[in-house]
Amino acid sequence: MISINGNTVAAAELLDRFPEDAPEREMINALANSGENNRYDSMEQLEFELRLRREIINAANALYKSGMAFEVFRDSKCNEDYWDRRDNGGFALKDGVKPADAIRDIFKNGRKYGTECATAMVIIYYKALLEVFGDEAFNNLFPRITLMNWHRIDPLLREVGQPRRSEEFLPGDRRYFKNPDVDPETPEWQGENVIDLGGGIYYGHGVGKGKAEYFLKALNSNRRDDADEEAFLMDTAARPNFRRLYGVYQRNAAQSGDMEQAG
Amino acid sequence: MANCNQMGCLDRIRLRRGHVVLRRQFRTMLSQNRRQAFYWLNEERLLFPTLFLLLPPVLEENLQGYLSPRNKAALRVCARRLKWGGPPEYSLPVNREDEGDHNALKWMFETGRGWDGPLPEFDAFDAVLDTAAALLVVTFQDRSVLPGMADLIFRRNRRGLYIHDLAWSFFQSFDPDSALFLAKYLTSSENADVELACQLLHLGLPENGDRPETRRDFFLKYRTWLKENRPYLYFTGEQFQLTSDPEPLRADPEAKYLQKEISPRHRTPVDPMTGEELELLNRFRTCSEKEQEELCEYSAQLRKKDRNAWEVWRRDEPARQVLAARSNREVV
Repeated sequence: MISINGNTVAAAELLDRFPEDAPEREMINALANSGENNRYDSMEQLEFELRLRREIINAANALYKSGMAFEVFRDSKCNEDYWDRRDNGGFALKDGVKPADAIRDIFKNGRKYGTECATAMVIIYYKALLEVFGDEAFNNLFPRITLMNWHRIDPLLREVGQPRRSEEFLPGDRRYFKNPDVDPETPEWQGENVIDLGGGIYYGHGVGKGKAEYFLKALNSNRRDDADEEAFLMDTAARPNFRRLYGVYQRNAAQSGDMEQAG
Repeated sequence: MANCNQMGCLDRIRLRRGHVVLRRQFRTMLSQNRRQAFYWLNEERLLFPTLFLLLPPVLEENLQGYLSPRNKAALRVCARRLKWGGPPEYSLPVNREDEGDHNALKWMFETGRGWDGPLPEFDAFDAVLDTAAALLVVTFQDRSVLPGMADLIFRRNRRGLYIHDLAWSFFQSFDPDSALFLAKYLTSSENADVELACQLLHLGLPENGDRPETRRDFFLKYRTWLKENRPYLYFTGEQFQLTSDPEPLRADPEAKYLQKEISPRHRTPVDPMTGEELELLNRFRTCSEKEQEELCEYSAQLRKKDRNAWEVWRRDEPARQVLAARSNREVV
């Protein structure tokens, strides 16, 4: 169920805003058909979540096309004009570089980068936020970025590192395919972080884009000899705290408005 | 400082004169007296870091056939992990039925884990050690390396190096008691150690955590928790690739409520469930999460104190069980 400011809103009232094949329709239907009451303080707050989810999907598609390589942490690489590579394989924003520029560079010069699937998810989230907040607000909100899977993740984004069991799943969710009997020589195949793109399609860095079967096949072909348990899609999802981020977005917008008026 | 009596001649050269001189001297030996070179390289007392440094010159000269069986096994592990290529017989995986492979892996890990070698080769060496550890724990189910693995995790962490693969392998042992090898670092004087131990064991940092006595109490509390919950502990599979806050080891509330031991790996009862236990479990599941927490704690305490009273209590209606748990909280 969707309720906005205490009033139940039917999916039909919202769907027409989006084209037939838009992932937003799937999001709205999932929220509306959910057994939970998905509460929003305003229509704008719901629109913000839909928009951010859409940008997460866009960023996932863009990263897929960027040419960024899959590399385990030991072999990770980055464009050292923007990032410093740490000894543990993570990337830290270089001093004097604008965060927005550094994030955009990953998508522009993907071939200069190589990392694993969890860090790719974090890159996607930052890109999505950049598109929603704009460069100036993004640079102020995330002045120091470290890209190392879920470590050192900015507090504003901490929930993306904490998947929870869920009854329903929406486009823009982070999901996880788990491979319990992974070959010990290739622990990077212990699982695959993916973004739900909608329509039963997922994106996971290193494996690609496809339906669940595609990921399961890839993981199952990287199991140890005596494996007896197959890979599976966990019933968990990780999501940003849309409510908190909307609050930040509103405050930023208000401050920008104040500054424009003062100017 | 390494004990020079427990190492080979080539190790002594490495330790006294460094890896550059070692390689230069070994190349000279290969050209002048190959038999002597391989006699020393195949010494039983040789340490793995020395072999690792000298494998490239051996491969360059295509002399891997002169290696001892142990060193050949080590070469295969290195070649596979570092993608060295070469003849296919030197890229074969380890054989879980082969005790020689097992011993070679153990030798690699135990004699190699204390080496802080020169970058960038050290990163490749670390990668090979991680693979050796993973194979020991997963393929050979060898738990004897767990203490060494724990120590290596913390040592690397202090230097800001990569630990995720080693941490993942550590928990693949599915041995709840191994948590103590990590927990001992809760008493470390190094803040980085305490923070990492808390992270690996899914513990919040203690208040006044800088004080040694606080850290000691914290460790003792964890040790008690581990001992009391041992039969109900299971490995969740959570690790750093999945989440920022993994909880690798957890107590199963249903097992604790039923006071029934479970497999740490599969989370299934060691002994099959009886019809009555299934019925009790179904009733337990009707309770809220908070009630379930209260019930499973009370069940453990009551059974320990008075088995007969526990048998009566657990057959009671869930609502009355909860009341008893709450009213008897202070008594038990």
